[in-house]
Amino acid sequence: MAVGSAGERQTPGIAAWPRMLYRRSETLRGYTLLSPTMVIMLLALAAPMALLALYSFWSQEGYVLSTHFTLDQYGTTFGRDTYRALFYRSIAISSVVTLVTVLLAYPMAYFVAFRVQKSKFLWLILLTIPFWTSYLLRVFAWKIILGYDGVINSGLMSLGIIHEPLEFLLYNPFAVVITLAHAWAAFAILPIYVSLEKIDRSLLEAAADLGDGAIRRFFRITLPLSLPGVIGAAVLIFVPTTGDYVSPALVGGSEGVMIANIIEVQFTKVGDWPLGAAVAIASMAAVGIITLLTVQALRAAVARVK
Amino acid sequence: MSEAYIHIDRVTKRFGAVTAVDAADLKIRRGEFFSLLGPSGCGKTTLLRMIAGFDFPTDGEIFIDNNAVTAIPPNRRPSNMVFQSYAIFPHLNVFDNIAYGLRKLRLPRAELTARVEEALAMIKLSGFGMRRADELSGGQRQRVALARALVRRPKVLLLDEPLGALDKRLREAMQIELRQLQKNVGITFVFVTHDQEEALSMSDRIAVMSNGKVLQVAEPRTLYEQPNCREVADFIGTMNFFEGTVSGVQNGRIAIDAGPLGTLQATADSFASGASVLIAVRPEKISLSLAKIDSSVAGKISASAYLGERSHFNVIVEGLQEPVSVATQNVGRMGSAGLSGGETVYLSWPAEAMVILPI
Amino acid sequence: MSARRTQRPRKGRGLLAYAILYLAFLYVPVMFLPLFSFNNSMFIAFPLSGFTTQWYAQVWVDSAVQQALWNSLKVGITAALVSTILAVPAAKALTRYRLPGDASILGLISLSLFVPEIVLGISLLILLNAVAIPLSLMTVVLGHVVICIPFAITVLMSRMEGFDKSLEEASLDLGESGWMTFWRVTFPLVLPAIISSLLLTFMVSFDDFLIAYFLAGTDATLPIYIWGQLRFPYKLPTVLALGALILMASTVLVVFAEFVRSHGIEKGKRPMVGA
Ligand SMILES: Nc1ncnc2c1ncn2[C@@H]1O[C@H](COP(=O)(O)OP(=O)(O)OP(=O)(O)O)[C@@H](O)[C@H]1O
Ligand SMILES: [Mg+2]
Repeated sequence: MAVGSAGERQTPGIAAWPRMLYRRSETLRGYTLLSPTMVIMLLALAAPMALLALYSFWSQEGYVLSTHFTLDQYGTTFGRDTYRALFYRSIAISSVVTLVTVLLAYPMAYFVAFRVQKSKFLWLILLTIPFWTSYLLRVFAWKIILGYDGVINSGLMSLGIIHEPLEFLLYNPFAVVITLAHAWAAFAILPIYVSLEKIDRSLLEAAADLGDGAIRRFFRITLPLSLPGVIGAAVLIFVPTTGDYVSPALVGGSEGVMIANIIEVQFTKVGDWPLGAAVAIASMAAVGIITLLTVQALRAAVARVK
Repeated sequence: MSEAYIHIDRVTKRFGAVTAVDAADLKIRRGEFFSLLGPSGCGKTTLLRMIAGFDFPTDGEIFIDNNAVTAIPPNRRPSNMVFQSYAIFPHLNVFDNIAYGLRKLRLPRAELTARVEEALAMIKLSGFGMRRADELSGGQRQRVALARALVRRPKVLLLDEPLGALDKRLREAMQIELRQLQKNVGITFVFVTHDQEEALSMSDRIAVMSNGKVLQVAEPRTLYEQPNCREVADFIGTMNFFEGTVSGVQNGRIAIDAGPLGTLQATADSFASGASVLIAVRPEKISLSLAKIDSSVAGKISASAYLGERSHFNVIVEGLQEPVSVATQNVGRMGSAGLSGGETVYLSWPAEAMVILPI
Repeated sequence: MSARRTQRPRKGRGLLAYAILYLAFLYVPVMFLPLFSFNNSMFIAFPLSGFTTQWYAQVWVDSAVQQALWNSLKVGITAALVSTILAVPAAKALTRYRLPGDASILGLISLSLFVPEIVLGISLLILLNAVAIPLSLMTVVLGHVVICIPFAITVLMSRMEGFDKSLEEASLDLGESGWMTFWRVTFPLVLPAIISSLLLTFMVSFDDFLIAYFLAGTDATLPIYIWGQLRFPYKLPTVLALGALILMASTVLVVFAEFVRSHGIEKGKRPMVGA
């Protein structure tokens, strides 16, 4: 029978349409659920960053903020030798920290992914606990270890190995590197572990079957496949550590000062917010570009090796 | 009674560039066991989900009992669904799973218990109420899903390959149980399957789908005996196809020039003289003899298979590209014994065994 | 511990030794805090001079510590609640709906992981200053919510990805509204992740120094208080005691959070497997 009974049919009224549109559109519903978070992120993350960028084009004249567009702050940022030196030092320290952390973490993550069978969970918890516990206290621990009359010096002296405290331990870039490498360890382990864990074990067996030895297998299969995790870990450490404030302030001394300490000073003691903003924006941009280029170069290099 | 209880009115569903359901038009009757049959990815689940209210048609309208339900959310539709994965709530026991949809009715405790117990008895799981969901076997989970939907006394029950995850034995037992259950409760069932035997044995009517389109809606017998296109004929059972040209039309009968098969007489209208047609014949409708009889076609057996109650043969007919598939019942003790390959045989079939399809 | 182990025993043992050394590298430096917190001396140096609990007693009676602790608890609990409550619908949207641009949305949400904390701190400071909102514990909460949300969303998304979407559909199909479906199905199934998210985001907020440093105004949180004490050598032993207590409490909390999360995941997954 055709549409004979169409006359009795009840079709939805006009009033139902907006609701229906809403129900039909998955996108609309999804965005609604996301909107509170997005609003917070826009208000408390995106807007402040935009304002920070804006500030960097203004200037501080005495106690008055001048909102005339100017590139003076960037002139100062790039022009002052001390700032450039600090920036290079921050990049150098973070690069070493990233390298050290990733190199140290890789065998650890490899061990948990491939060697641990029953107690993976325990190992993972042990490795992540430090990650969640106070950053400040972990840095502080290094201060009391490396200090002039700290753990190492007093320990070695009471053992009679040295008679004068070693002064080179604290307040230098090396102290910052070891402190940061320790503080950021968990950030490296987890991404690497995840990418190792994802590797299909049958690939390794296939390679072994094709006559590859353990070493070749590692370099031809395991390492390339875990590279996304390695790159992720490196980015996740390099970018934030370039802007680290606590470690240089506590264990860096005057030789270990980094860019974040300069920014902090502009915002507190000096009170030149536009200059602080320009330093922050410039160094973030520079770090961003360096990171992107390095990641691209790494990817390209890997692609060529394959 | 041909009134459409569920009317799928030219419904189309697109996911981006993919057209999952393409202008499907279906009228499902009240109390009917209706199957959606088709190969994987043809849009069965999508169509079912639109009836249930989880997906919204890109175009078209769905009516249940003459009410447009297209704009109505799933929780206010008179249908319930048995999911392919069963979707048993893992944090609830069997009793609470079945009672889940009764909360809204605000039944007195005793009545609620009675209804759940009744449902448990119906699926032969009395005493399993306190079992946790993860303590059930696949078949038990399937039944709990069924009871959970039926306990709400829906007007329509939607089942998405409910037997797909069961082993063959259990599946066959459940087919019979499910059909029996449907007859007892009298609810309209819309049943999705890609298993043609399952669809043929259980359904009142079947819609065959392919690539989002509904090709044919018919009773199982009609679908088998009178497929309306090559795809349906091919998907259901085995079919031999021969090409031919209509050479004469005379009140309901046509003559077809079928090349190596000679001229065939068939019952069919709506074909004009000179039209190209496809002649479809089921293997079991072809008789095979060693002696030449009238209007038979000669061929050579190229392969044979003994399957117990019947045997299959491939017969090569000169001038045909594909071998003809023939099935014989092994009635006598020796059946078609001795025919193993190379013998010349003669094939024949009655005129009503042929289905004439346009190309 | 099968063939692989026996084939290359030396390599396996080498890695194990390395792993143990690595754990030592992670834990030993931090252990000096509790160690010296019981040392009966103003100086943090070997040799240890005797056992005392006086530093703990000093922490206990210090009203500034109590105030800072109370402030940190208020901030941490509020930030944990706000970020987790925001993250639940967001994680649902990101796992359950096909959204155009969801990759960039996730990018914006996780952006705070890649921005140095000092930049987060100063940029919020500028904004609050521009719109004349006075600094207080509430502004600290705002900053902390920004850094907590990525953690909350990650924890919740991995849980939501772990269970079958048709469970929620089944509930709708059985007559429940979207709201009741959330409470009767989604919430109980996601509960372990919610608890875990609350605990972990609390930890993130409780530990944070730098953002609070810029946004707290005159109210000190515990890390700000500790930072202030580090300048005075004679205060160090009490800081050690306080630090040891914080380390212990956060370790217990983290272990509990991780346990709830992984336990929940396993339990939720088992019944999902088909026949
Ligand atoms: N949510 C979706 N997004 C995009 N494409 C989809 C979606 N759901 C289904 N499709 C596509 O629509 C088509 C029909 O899918 P559907 O699930 O309805 O098939 P089916 O007939 O149920 O198959 P099966 O027997 O394998 O379950 C497929 O091509 C599928 O890839
Ligand atoms: Mg399907």
